[in-house]
Amino acid sequence: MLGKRKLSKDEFAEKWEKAREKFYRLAFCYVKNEEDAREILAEATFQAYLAKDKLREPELFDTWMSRIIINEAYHFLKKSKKTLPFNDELTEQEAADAFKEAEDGIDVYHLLEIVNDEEKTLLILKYFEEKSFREISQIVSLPENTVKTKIYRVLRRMGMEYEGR
Amino acid sequence: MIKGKEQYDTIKIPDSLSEILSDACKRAEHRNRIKRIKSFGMAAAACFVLIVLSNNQAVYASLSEVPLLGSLVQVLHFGTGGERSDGLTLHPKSAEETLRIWFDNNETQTNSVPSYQINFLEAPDRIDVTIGGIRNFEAEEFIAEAELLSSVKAAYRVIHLDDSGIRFVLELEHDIDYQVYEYKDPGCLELSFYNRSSGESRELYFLRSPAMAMGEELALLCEQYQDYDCSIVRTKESQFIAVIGTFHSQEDASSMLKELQQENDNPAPFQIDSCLNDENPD
Repeated sequence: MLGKRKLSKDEFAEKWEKAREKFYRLAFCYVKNEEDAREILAEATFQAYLAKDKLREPELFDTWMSRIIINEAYHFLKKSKKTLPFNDELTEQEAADAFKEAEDGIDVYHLLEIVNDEEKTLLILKYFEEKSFREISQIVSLPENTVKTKIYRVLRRMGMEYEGR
Repeated sequence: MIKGKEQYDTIKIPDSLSEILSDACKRAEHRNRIKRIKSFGMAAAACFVLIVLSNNQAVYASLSEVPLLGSLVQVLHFGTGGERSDGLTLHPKSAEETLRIWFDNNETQTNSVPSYQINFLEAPDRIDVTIGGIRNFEAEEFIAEAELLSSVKAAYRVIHLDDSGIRFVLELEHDIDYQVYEYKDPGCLELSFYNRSSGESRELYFLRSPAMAMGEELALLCEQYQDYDCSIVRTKESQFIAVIGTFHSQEDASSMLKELQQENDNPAPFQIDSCLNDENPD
């Protein structure tokens, strides 16, 4: 790949600092506590720094880093067994709570606690990070239509009308 | 109407966030330094070998075939990736705590990685890898290559009922973590291992089958309970068992067993067992 520029240490730091709050919020949404969010971000940053020479398009740093954070968050949740996704269906009580909230508009921040990890990622990227479907598909490595379908499905499960862009 | 963005935007950002960056960079630089020192030693040894064998055409030919890494497609711990393909041959190569897997089709290197699935499991810590589209696989060569890595305690092939794919398990040494990199042009799957901070051992509960030799019976059992994420693991006596789940308490394991018995007409051949997270079951 001639002509591709490697990311220097300073460039890595500059890009990281520029987006650090966004990265922290992304990690936080999976665990909802500072200590675990810091651990996820620290491990993701370590992994990203080790692999920085492999990033062929430095302008995609945010997308690339987000993907690493998401993978680290999945790994953290699985290792700490903070979620056991044997069944991604809502319990009756959870569904009742979610529908109750839907009367005044669905609270996606609360919803994150009761959806599976993949749905969590899609909701964070779509509604909090305000990424386009195309950007989300690049981050999660899924086709754009699959991303749309999965978001639609989780919202429909909550009894909501889809508010697509 | 969608709500919650406000809460997201007001998540309290810790003051010391920059420390995360500096600590991670220092840790990574340290690791790179160690790798460079190791590489230097290996390079010196390689130079010696090259000087001695420089007139050997066969050696030159084999070295010239060592492929370069292509573009990074994704980095993951577990999940899926790759593209559907068939009739491929798999070539493993390990070096510096990294296992690289290349693929060819009729001796032409593939541009992408065939479809694969990677799971991380505990008791013991292990990576369960399934790769589709592989018709030629030298299991012994693969196991020998993987076990050259000091991070890999053991490697073994798991019988996979779909003969167009292969499944194998890499058991990790204590306090070893890993990262998977998928490349294209050419297609390569890279498993990179590294030390992570030491965690306390803890007891985990799981559902297990009776121990048996690796074979079709075990593969059938695993497939029958695949909806429960059934996997296969080696016992301390080098037999194999099918396992479902890992739980922090016996109560959680009991609930799972009850659910399993209720949802299946035939009695499930599983019972509750436990062991430390970093050891093999009995």
